[in-house]
Amino acid sequence: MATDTQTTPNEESNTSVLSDRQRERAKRVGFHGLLWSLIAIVLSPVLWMFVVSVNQIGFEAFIGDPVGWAANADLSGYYEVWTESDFPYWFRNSLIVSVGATVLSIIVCTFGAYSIGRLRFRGRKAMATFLLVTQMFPLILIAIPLFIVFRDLGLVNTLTGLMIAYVAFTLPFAIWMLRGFYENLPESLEEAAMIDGSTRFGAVLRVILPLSAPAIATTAIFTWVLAWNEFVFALVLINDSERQTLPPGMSEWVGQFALNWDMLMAGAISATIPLLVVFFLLQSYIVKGLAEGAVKS
Amino acid sequence: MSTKIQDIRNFEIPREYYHWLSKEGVWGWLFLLPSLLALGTVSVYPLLRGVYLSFFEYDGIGDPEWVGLDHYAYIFGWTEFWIVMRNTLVWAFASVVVMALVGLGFAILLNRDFRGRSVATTLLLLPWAIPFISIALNWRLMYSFELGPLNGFLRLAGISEGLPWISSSRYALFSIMIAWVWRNFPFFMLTFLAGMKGIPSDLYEAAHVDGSSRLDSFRHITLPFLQPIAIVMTLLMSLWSLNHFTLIYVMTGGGPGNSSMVLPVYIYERAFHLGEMGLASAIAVVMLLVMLSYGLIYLRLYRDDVGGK
Repeated sequence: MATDTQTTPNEESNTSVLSDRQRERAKRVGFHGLLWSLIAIVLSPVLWMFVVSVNQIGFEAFIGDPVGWAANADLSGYYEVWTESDFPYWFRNSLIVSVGATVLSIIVCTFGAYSIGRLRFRGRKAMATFLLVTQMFPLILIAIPLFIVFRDLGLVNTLTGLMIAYVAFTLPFAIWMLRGFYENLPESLEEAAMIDGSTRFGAVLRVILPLSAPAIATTAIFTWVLAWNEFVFALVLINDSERQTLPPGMSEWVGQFALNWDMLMAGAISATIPLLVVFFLLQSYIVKGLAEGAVKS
Repeated sequence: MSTKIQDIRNFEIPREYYHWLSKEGVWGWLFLLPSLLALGTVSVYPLLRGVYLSFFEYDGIGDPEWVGLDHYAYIFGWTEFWIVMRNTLVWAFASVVVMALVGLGFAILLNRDFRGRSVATTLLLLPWAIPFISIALNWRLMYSFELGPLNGFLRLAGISEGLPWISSSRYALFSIMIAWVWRNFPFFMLTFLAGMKGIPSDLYEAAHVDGSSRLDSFRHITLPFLQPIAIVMTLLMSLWSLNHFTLIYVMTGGGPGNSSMVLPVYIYERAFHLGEMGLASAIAVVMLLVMLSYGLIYLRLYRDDVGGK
């Protein structure tokens, strides 16, 4: 900022090399100042979530005495979440259901995406459009009858039922995402294998699948995030707290522990950790996968 | 110029060269079969059954009672329904426009070489790596009267005693929309950034030689290139926004009154708290019609850009 103001007078006698360089520098400082303050604003809710999770405090008190906040920080909120609530059950259930639904969708979607993305046949276009149309279904319209059907089949209140229900929205998304990747593979790949006598199915298994492993992994991550976030189906199809997943389970806290902000935030952070781990371990994959899927499809 | 690119992309073997009974066709349908079966069972069948249910009065326990089109007739004269419908449309479309603009702004900032670029990108992706439920709780805290930094800041700056962000019918929907934009702009940022990287740099150089300003280059090169991506993303994001449930349900439950109520939450309450599954299904069918007509008109308008191949 200081450099910024100092260069301004120089700009008027803007002839020497030095002032050009200074101008460059001022521009750079201005750019970084703008960018990083915007980033700070974007990140402030997350920072505040952390601040309150270790020591419930008001904004003015924190600004006035951050050292006092740090001195009184502890993990009691986290302790409460992990030992005194149903959170561990929800966490486990969320893991089971989201991973299960992802595996289910990925197995089915790999072939579907290959078919739509790569094979030329009549009806393919219609199927691609149909997949897009399933994204236009209100999930809540599906949830009501699904509840009735599952109740009649005894699948209400089971994690298996929830896993199956999740395929309704994870599968079209996964096919749509993976399709773009298959469209971009060179044509001759399976043909070589098929000339050597293997069937289309064999060629897909031995040639295409290994090649598309990174794309499948990216698709799996996105699918898993969808399932980890899902709210309505879990709310409708599960009644027992111990069988609930994280989102509806934690939403109950709002009424019960409205003023225990340290606990609420500790829970919010705990529910975030699996996502964070996956995102930051696989960030380059995700960015690339998303870019390819988006640009190509 | 973008039509050229589209032409190449949409090039297809003429129809007579492929038939559904051709060898590829058989494999095509075989490979699709599991997907179609799965979607038929958990998506299409429940959907049709939901449409069917909308012609009945059903409380979830007793026997469904046929009422024909009564629910639909009722819905159209029902003020509350129209308020919720208006909220839903504002929620979905206004927030998507803002998301796209914010995302574009950050993409422009990040689309240059500077030190710390990948750190900046990663940090800006953070809202996206937080589950909806955590965001809902996080923003409840942000808007909290005593502990929320927003009101704390207003008080410190002496601007006001604090605003009732999500507890007043005037600001509630708007406040939740801020959280929704916050969570989703990275999605636009990333895809725009990827799109910008795909623009050949000699285009810019040529434009520069021809003496166009940076703003001109942005308008005539960058924006047309980003348009197809933007169209797909806004379509998907507005559909996802229409379906979104968590933030509104957890932050306000649709209140105060129905001021921040949107269709998914409203339908849920009707079906599972008030036991009006038939009426709720009818509302959901209207919502389906809105989403379908929006989506299909959109696809029709921008068929080439969505690349419906």
